[in-house]
Amino acid sequence: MKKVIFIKYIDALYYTEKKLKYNGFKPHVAIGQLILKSNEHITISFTEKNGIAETGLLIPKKALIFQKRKESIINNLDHSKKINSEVGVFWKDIVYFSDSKIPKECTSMYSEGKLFFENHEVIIVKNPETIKIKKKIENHPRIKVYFIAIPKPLITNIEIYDKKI
Amino acid sequence: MTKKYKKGDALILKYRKKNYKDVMEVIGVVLNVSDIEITLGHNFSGTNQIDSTIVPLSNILDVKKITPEEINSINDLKM
Repeated sequence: MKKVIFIKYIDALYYTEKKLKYNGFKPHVAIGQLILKSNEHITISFTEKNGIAETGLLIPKKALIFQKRKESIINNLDHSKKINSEVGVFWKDIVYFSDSKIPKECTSMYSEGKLFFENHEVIIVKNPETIKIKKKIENHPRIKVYFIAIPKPLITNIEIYDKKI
Repeated sequence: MTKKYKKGDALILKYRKKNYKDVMEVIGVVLNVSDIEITLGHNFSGTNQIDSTIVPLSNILDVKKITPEEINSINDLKM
């Protein structure tokens, strides 16, 4: 039998209403069979078809909730004085897979918009445009999003655009 | 048959698809069980279920109940 694993993780939140109701991230929970673990991510399957993983998740290691959570490297970046600045946030997204198309890596995302809120666990961007970097022009999701809450552990880089320059 | 499973049990079910070609295996927690089918949940957000699979009881080939000792946490993986 493969290794059965129970995980808790956090994921980005998209808000389609104009008024933001952010109450922190609720942990997601999943149970599956371990397919792969690396230094960057783990892949688990929920269903197998004829012995081959059919559906499951690829989750960046930094989205996993360990019992004793390590501090994020992004935590020491102080952007609190940059509220309302235009920002570009690079982050790694969780991948749900189906039809046995097992992804090899997390999806690299880029969200651009106005920095609305920031604390130790989250950066919230107002009126974001989010693209999957490899596909470049694809809006994600395809509906109008007024806010996106990105967990800091998933963030790989932040660019702040100062319009005064 | 339904007495074999109860809500909250973690199971690995092997079953045959309706096309009789494919053998499926699904892992999850029993969310619901009726006289004809069983629903296993794999992925949850708070109390909301994100993803689940419904399996007809008549198609089940094998059932393995997962004990708490067999369930690893992420800390067990020593990542």
